[in-house]
Amino acid sequence: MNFIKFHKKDIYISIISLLILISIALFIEHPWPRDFLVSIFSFGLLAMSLNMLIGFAGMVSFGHAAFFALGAYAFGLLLQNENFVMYFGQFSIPIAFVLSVLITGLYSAIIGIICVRLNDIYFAFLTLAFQMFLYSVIVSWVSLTGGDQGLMGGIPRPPFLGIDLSDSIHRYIFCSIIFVLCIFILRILNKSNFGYTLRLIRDNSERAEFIGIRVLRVKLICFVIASMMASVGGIIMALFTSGAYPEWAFWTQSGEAIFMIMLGGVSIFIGPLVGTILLRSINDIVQIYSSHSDLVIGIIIMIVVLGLRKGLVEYFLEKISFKKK
Amino acid sequence: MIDVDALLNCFGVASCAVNQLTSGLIIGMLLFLVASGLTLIFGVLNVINFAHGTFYMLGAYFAFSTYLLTESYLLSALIGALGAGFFGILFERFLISKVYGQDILMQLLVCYAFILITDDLVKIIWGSEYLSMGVPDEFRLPPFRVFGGFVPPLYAFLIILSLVIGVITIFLISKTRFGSIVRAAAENAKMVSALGIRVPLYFALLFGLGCALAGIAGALGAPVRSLTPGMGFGILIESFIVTVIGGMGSIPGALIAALILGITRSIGSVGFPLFVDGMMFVIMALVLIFKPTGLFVKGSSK
Amino acid sequence: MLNIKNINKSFGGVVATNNVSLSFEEGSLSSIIGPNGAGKTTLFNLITGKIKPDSGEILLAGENITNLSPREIVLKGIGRAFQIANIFPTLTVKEALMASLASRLGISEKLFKPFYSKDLQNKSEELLDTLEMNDISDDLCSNISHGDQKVLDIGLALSLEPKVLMLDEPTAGMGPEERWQMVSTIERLWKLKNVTLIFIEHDMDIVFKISQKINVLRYGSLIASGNSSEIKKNKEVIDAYLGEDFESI
Repeated sequence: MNFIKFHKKDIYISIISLLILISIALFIEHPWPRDFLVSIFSFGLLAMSLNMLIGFAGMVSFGHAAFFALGAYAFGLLLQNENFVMYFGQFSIPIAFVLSVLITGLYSAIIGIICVRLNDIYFAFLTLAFQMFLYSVIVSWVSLTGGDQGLMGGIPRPPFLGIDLSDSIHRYIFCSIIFVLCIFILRILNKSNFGYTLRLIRDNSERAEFIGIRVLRVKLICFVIASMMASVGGIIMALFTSGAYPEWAFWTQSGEAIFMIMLGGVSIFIGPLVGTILLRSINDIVQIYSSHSDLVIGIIIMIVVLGLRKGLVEYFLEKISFKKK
Repeated sequence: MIDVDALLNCFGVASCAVNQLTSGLIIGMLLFLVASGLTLIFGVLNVINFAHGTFYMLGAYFAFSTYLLTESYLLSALIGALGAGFFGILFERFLISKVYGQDILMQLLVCYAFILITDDLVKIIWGSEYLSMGVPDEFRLPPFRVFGGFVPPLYAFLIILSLVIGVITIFLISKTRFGSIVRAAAENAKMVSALGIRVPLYFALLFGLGCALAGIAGALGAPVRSLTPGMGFGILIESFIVTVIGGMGSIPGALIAALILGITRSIGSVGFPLFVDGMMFVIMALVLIFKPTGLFVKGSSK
Repeated sequence: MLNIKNINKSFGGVVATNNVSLSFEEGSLSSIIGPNGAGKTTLFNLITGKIKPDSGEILLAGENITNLSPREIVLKGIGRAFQIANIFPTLTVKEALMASLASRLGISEKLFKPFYSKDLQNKSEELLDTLEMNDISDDLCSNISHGDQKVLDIGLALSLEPKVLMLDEPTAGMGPEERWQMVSTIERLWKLKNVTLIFIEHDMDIVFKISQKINVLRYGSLIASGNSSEIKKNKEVIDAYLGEDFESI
């Protein structure tokens, strides 16, 4: 009960956000807002979970999208397996969901054991290298993954408990619930003992060791949780597109996620989500007006990083607080 | 997973073994040049140039265009190296040096943006199709016969030239005035600039040298590789694996590690084609687990 | 309480600690002095497990802790504050102490347990009282004065309820007034917490005033050990360390 009392405000915010998200589906018939929001759910989870590493723990990973992609591929491949669907019947989707998250957790634990011991530069590069390893596996193992073309043939979505994920409204509401739940969990982690232990490590890992923190173990746990969260984002994308694509495992996906975090600011809990919305919108707009969106996005990143030297959201918050003074 | 028969068939026959080893050496030596640039920049500036592959790509494309105009392979290689070095200096002065000393997130983003921009510019200028330079006229000569295998003169030239460039680089860093200033500045930049030496200039030159090494690798390899925007990223990852295995900051380490990877690749393409990339990562992971500082470096990566 | 037996350590041929044996009585207040490069901080690093000795033994209350990790040694009861205040810049003073207390209670890895619990808050407020830091409890650690950072550093060590508290130059970088304030804080905490306290110090006035026992290191060797008057009389110490100015002290 203490727990509920402590998180009262966050619980209210979560419920209200969820109600707003669901009402969008009920009152707006046009699919565009739903499609846009599902992509925000998915990439938002990627960015939010990456910020658990970068913002909470100070572990700058350049290969986080690997876990996003792994979640998506594991989910798709499990459901495309006829025996799997035959065996689990109507529970196929929830079981595939949980299994995919667990598989990602296991994989990230193996990568994590190697990476968390290293200093920040090595950590960034190594996570990137392992992401490109996964990418090369996906691209070259054509018989399993479809290679360049991605996971083709659609992902079966057998209904469970009256929820039919092939229906776009059902799918949207399902994704909203999962999304809000994940953000809520991240929020609890952020305010928990564990969250503060991560801050200790981020600020001064040597001192943390001297007050008795098991630094490597805590880093590893953080790495695995963040990866599992990213895999949920990937699963949402796989559900939405009814497929999985190697681009999700490509390094640019991780670079994009880092920029989302930077745009929104690492110091604000919900910042990466704002960053996701900003970048997705910028992306959509640029793609309408230019066939060279990489060039434009690259220039925007340079301007933000070298010009503002901080996230857009942080920049404007500071402007506002200056004016007040 | 491993096709033992194919391996035995190839390595039982001298000519096949020679061919595979030569191609392994080529892959290894070009990789060595790129990686030595990466490790040089890291060793002195303590910055990992995540955009290093871009300069490899630029070197290749500059060489390609020069060759179209002049039909001279050597001139193309020179222009490739100088062009990449020049852009490297610009990149260092106007972009990456602005985020020195800041957290690594900023460095990552600057490199990420730079890669996006240059890849797209290359696409605009040279198109997105694969380009091929072909074997230059200078090297359309009959191949050498070694143990029944054929070694094209171009291959022999590439291997020897790469080695020479590597030796010159080591000499430049360890024996010349430029090298000693740069190494001293890496230890204590304030002290060196108090002596009236313009440290930022030397840092920019060193960065340019590192990029020129990537550029010349791209240029020299242009006849044996195909050119495409984004070609730099794969080689970035591979040269990173090389520096992890050889030890960050060690050029001789980079040479040996690059040869290990090159040979692994060429043997792998016969024996375990699907698992070649995997094998490189397995080697890297083993080094990281058992000797995280790399095979040839004392000190700590922790 | 803490016994060091024949500890040796050299770094690439340079002897940093040469066959040092020392013992610290329970509840005592001792200092370690010596010229720069005498191996004082190295000795601290050896005791706290940051580096491992080449040979010798370290016993805490009779238990061999020589080969334990820094973390295990901390949990056995040796707390340490650092030469350069070593704190957590983005946390508030109170949060830093709470997080440290959570570690002491073994709950720092609880994923879902709210950090701002009554228990941790009460305990941290007690500690803030002890440290007399109530008025700055909600300031960021990076924003408080240098002296306060040093006290907080000691507070972080104390939060683990150590048997032995080791302070590496607690008054380094302070003005004269701040120094004596720090000295009285140290004496107060020592009496209050009843710990075995060991500190490294350069200021001879402070050393002679508060130490029950003074240990003098030179070139990695222990050259003298005793109370203030014994050390002041010791010929070797006078020659080696205190020099001609000694009479004036």
